[in-house]
Amino acid sequence: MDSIRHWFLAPRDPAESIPFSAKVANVLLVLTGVAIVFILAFRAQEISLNWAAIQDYWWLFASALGNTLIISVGTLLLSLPIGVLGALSQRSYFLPLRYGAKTYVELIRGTPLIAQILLFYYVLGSAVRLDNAFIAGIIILSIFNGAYITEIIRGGIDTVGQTQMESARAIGLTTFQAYRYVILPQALRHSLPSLAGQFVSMVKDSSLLSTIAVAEFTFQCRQAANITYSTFECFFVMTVGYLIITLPLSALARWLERRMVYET
Amino acid sequence: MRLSIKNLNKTYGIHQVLRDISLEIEDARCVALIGPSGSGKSTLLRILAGLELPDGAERTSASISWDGIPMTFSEEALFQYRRNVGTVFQSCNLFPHITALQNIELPLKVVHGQSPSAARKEAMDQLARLGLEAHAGKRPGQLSGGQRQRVAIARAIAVRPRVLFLDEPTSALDPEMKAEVLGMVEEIKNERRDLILVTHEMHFARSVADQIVFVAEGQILQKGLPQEVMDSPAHDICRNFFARVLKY
Repeated sequence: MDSIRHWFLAPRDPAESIPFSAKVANVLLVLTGVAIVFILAFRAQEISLNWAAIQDYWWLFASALGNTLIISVGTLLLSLPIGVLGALSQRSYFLPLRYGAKTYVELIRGTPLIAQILLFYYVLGSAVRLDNAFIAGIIILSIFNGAYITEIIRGGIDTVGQTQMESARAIGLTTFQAYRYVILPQALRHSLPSLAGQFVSMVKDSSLLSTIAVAEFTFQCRQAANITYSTFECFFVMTVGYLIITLPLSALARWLERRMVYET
Repeated sequence: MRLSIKNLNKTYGIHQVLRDISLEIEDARCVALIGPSGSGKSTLLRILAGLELPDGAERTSASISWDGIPMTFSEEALFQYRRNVGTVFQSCNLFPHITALQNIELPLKVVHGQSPSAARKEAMDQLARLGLEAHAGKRPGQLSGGQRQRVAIARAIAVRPRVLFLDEPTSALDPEMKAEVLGMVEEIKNERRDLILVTHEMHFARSVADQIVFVAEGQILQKGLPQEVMDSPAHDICRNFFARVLKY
């Protein structure tokens, strides 16, 4: 009886850890439930899956997943500095910069990504002769994500508190040095959980680049589906493919969070 | 130190915190600012530390001079000024994301341009002096309140400041930790380093300060040797204050 308790109920003492076996068992339990629901649903509609038809396209899936990965990493690397600059601009004494950053955040967050992609690519991109949809896609996604990251980091800076800025000034740091050595390192740590969530969203948002024919994962999965008529099989590959990127990303964020934890 | 203040005013909104302060300190090592809460003594200390501007900012009518050299209140001048003085607050001085050792190293490297190895050596020497070498790798959250304040003071004096400002350095501590921090302050004074502190520790102020400045309602009511100020208060407010704080 007692051992069954351990499998299904968390320990009363929050300091006590949940056994690894119980974690695995509960995740498997949920996954099994989901699988059963879908299997029954497929059965009910009398859909039979034909995996053989998509086997020849494994290289297409793999290279497209690679592209999505490159887009994601590129966007991550580009949007983080945009977010930091955006957050700092919002605190600038130079008002055009401050209100520029605020307007940027509101315009980007208030409009659909798909509209931004089309507008930036076909209007702005064409105007500056940026025809490479892949690179344009990374830039557009970075601008989009940068707005959200700006807000996340701005919130992180707010939690650091005025006394830290005061101490930084008292030891003779310039404003730039204070942000560089004291405020931002703490703000980024505070922001890490939200940043991780944003990056996971960003990986999935990259699927919208299919509208400008970037050969990313969603686009190629659809292509494969059109050729083979094995739509559900391709969508299944698509689901698993995104999880291959997003689950390790979440795990990495949790690991970083644990490593960077400190008492205040 | 030789400190001269004339016509110093400070107003926050409609609230005047310092009213036309003038003060002459001749040849003192340790000056204690005392007085009731909200008297303006911390504000006075913060202006002296270059962290706050007097009314009028750059065009202020106030004049403050150290050893005959006047302070200027432009952003750039104050930045230079703060590099050469040290300030320790009541709490939260240290940066929680880096270790005690890194906290001491940071200003040495970034502000004073020391090489990493020189900064490390200086920081280790400071910690050794406090008997805290074993805690060098700990983050502030893992230190006791008293240890944190001592590391903060060590960080301030590692850069060899002209003056050290302490704003109620023991107010957030329990008695045992208070004693350990006050012991360190006394040691610093004996090393012939100038310091100005705001404190509520009357016995400490009496035994360590060369000069006591009594601040109340934004004005300096009395200044003098500790015995003079405490044993023969010149003003009713001072008399009542000492009667209250020294009662128990």
